[in-house]
Amino acid sequence: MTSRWKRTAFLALSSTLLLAFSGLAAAADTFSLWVRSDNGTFMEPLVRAYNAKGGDQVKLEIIIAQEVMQKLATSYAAGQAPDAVSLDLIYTPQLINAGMLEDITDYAKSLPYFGELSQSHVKISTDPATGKIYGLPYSAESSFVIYNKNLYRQAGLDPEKPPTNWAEFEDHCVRIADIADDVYGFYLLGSGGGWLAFTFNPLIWASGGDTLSADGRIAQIDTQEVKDAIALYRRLYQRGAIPESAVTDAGANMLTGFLGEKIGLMSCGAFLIGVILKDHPEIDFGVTPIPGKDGGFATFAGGDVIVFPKGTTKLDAAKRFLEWCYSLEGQTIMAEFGSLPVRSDLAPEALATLDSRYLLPAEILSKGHTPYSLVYSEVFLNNNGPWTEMLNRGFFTDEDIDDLVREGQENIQQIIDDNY
Amino acid sequence: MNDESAVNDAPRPRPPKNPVPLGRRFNTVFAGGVGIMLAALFLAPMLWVALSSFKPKEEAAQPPLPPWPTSGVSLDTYRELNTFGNGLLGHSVNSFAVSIGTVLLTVAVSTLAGYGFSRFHFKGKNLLFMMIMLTMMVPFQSILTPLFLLLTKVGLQNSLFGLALVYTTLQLPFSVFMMRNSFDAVPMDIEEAARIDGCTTLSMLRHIMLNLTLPGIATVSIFAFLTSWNEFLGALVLLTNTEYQTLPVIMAMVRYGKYGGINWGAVQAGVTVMMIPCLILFLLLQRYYVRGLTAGAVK
Amino acid sequence: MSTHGTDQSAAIDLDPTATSADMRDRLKRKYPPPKSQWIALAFIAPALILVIAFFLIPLVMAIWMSLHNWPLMGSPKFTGLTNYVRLASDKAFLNALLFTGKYTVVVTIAIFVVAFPLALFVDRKSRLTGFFRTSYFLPSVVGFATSCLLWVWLLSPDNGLFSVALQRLGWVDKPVQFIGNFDLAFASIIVMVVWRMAGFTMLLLLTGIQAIPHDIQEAARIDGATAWQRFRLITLPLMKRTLALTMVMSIAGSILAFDQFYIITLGGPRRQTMTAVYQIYNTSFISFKLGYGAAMSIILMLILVALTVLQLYVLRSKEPSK
Repeated sequence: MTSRWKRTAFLALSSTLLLAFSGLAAAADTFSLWVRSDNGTFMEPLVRAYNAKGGDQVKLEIIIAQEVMQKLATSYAAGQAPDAVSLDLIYTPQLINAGMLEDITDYAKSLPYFGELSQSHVKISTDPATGKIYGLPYSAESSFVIYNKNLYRQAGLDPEKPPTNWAEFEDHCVRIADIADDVYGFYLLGSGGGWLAFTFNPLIWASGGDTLSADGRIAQIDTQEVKDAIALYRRLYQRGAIPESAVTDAGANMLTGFLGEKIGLMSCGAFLIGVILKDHPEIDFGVTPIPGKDGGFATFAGGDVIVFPKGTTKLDAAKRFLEWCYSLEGQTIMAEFGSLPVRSDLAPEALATLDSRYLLPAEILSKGHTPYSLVYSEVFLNNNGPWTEMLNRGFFTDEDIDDLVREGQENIQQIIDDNY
Repeated sequence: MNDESAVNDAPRPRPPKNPVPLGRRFNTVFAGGVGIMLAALFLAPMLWVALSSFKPKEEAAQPPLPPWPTSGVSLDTYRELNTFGNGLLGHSVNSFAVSIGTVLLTVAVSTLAGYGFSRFHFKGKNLLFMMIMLTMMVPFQSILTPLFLLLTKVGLQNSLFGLALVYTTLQLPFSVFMMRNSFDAVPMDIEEAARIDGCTTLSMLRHIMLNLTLPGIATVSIFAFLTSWNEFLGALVLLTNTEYQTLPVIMAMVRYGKYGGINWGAVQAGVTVMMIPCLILFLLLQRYYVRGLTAGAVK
Repeated sequence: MSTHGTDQSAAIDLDPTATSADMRDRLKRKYPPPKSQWIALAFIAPALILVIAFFLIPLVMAIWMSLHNWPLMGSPKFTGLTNYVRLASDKAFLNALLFTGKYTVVVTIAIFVVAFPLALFVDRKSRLTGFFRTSYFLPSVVGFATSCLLWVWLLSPDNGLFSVALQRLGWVDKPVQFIGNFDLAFASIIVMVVWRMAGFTMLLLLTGIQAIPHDIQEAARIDGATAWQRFRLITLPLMKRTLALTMVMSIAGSILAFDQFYIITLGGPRRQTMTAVYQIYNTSFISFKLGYGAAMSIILMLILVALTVLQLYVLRSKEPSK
């Protein structure tokens, strides 16, 4: 904790000093960078530190996450696109497909640490047809299970033995829910599409299934793995291990239960560790990967890719900024304010001063999945889309699961077909 | 003008008062009781949120029973709100600039048009009037993308002035309708008298007609202010830079929440900040407003 | 503040015999058009320019877009009427239209059921009348989106007011999920909209009530008509114009409903509260099918225009002849 404060104080001091000299600095460029609002927490200190160096200046615009694509497309159409955008990596295929991005293949491969960068990010930024690269990893996030050790103890469970398969998972949730009327085993955002993709898909992957074919052209919803995973959550709900508020939650009450120590387990991302450490240091929690049906684990490798809209004249300045972000200094600031390092060789060092529970999400990242799809937002992110609807009905109603997945399969395949 | 309760404005001859019988007096008391209960119901949500916004951070996240702060008054929620976007002050200034700009433009444009539609007869008049009214029938969402491209072409995208122009256009059907009826309600004789006194059309419009249609103008102004103060989607799409964003866009950020759900304290503070100017404006101008609405609506 | 002239105009405003239609007739009779068409056009020009630039041109562009497969990115393909053909069998859109219709009917009735008694109530003279009118009207002043956000908070099961209050009163024993099932979500929205709109509708109706000449009511009273008879035989028929106008406004507003469902119910539970405009928004800004979304808008616009014309036609044909 103290070293963190020292560093912050040092940064503040140096920025003031440097700011005073910045007028004298050599001719430097200013470029515009858009980031989504979710990442404002680490982007603001990062950019402040960079601008304080007095060289190139970053003009940061924070865009509401849900609106990034729309604003980007309209401003691109109007010839007003920013020089660089850090956006949710699942959108990259859409942008590549539309031919909106600068080809940075040679530059990316020239980076000495290219091989150490998060491969899920690189893969999704690569055009599968041509092998050209259009984006680079910028920030990372992975999904895993966080659990409350206090509640484990109260339920008579061993707090050092989190679930490793679905049977244990279900058992733990139900036993924690039995502690008291207002305590529940598990929480999820039953109406939050993006959240469900981030935390529910790994259950399927870890059990050997997938929701989409590798090229994103075939929906694989009507499979045993999907049915089993839906049935798991349905059992949890019917056995009283999931609170009623999960049915409609799309994010408003995401952490209320867990931070109030009323929820035993929850699938989430590394940002939650930061929130707990900062606001609720009293909570005794552990982390563990999202298990498969019979063991094993999987994670969603999420986060941001940085891309450069075609036609920018400030590419060099943007690259210099990116390289600084990839340096130990940049990676450390990002880690400190909530993003996992995207350079695996620097990860241990960048995370050294942070809570040890950050290590798990960073480690599993390299084994993460990232679905490749041109219709990701329509199918998965959309809170009113077929995916969210199918899962919500699957978890919280008595409708026949076979029928539900068949219907979901048709609806999702229809959306994919409409777009090719 | 404030001594008279305002919405209470419609004059109408009443028969002379008779001594009130006992039964009717009971009725009056009963009616008063019911009225006060209803008033409490209508006002409660607003009072509730305004009071709660002065709770300290932890208390603001708790259910609002009672609504007032119990562990000391605090501005925590406003500080939280201030962390969204570029801070509360700048965005409030943007909001006021757009809203006041819209009011001025709307009043100017709709007064001229209202006068034109009321006092002149020409071919195609009804058609043009219907064309303006048609603006009301189209969901704004559906013309947003073309609007953005258009504004960019003329260099008004990402500008508060451009946004005010768009808002003015959206206000026109209601405002022109309102102003036409207000002018209709002014007898021709007054205008004729002024003309005989040597007024030109414009100076007469400025000196005489404006006074007579002041209630209509107040109605148009209040509506223009309220709409532009509260509009969200257009502001979101048509303004790119954070520094130009208006309050509703910041409120959208609050609503979507950062990671970890909605910050309920910031919601309370935001709703209060958004509410106050509307309430003040209305309470100040309600006398004119209601009279204008009367003139416009009955017709 | 001196308000010279306003008193006079107010008296005229409320002169019930001076409808704008016959005022215009009178003007026409007495004063034949003295000025050239060009002066008139000059007065109207600024409004026309704005409407053409910021409404008609984008509208024409939207119509043009509706004839294309127009992705957010990449180049549009002309597809003729394909979008419209597809709409005819688009279950999601048809359901959204159906729900919008249902919402419009229910909310319009609910608002009138509350607003009409309120209008009659605040028509009484008492010392508190002004206060009553102002308090009932005040929620209408708050922006729609702001009101919605306020109600999101009030309806929140764990941090809000209603659920916790019901629990403390002992009426329910666990948190109420107000947006958890369709009926409760729909009812919550109706209550919220009535809270927000009743005062506004009340005021419009009040203007209508007060435009009825007092002597007619008084004469009926002397003839022994009961309050109900007076309401049914005098108040209602003489308010037809006001009622119709208020109805048009309420229906047009409800058909374009979006904010309350976007902010409070998120279209849920399970897409059951998706309105037409919400569907348009999703199609254009989540699925990024701008052409298809534009086609939906055009259909919705046509429905709205048709309804309005119908309403105005009904209104006109029933207007008592002079």
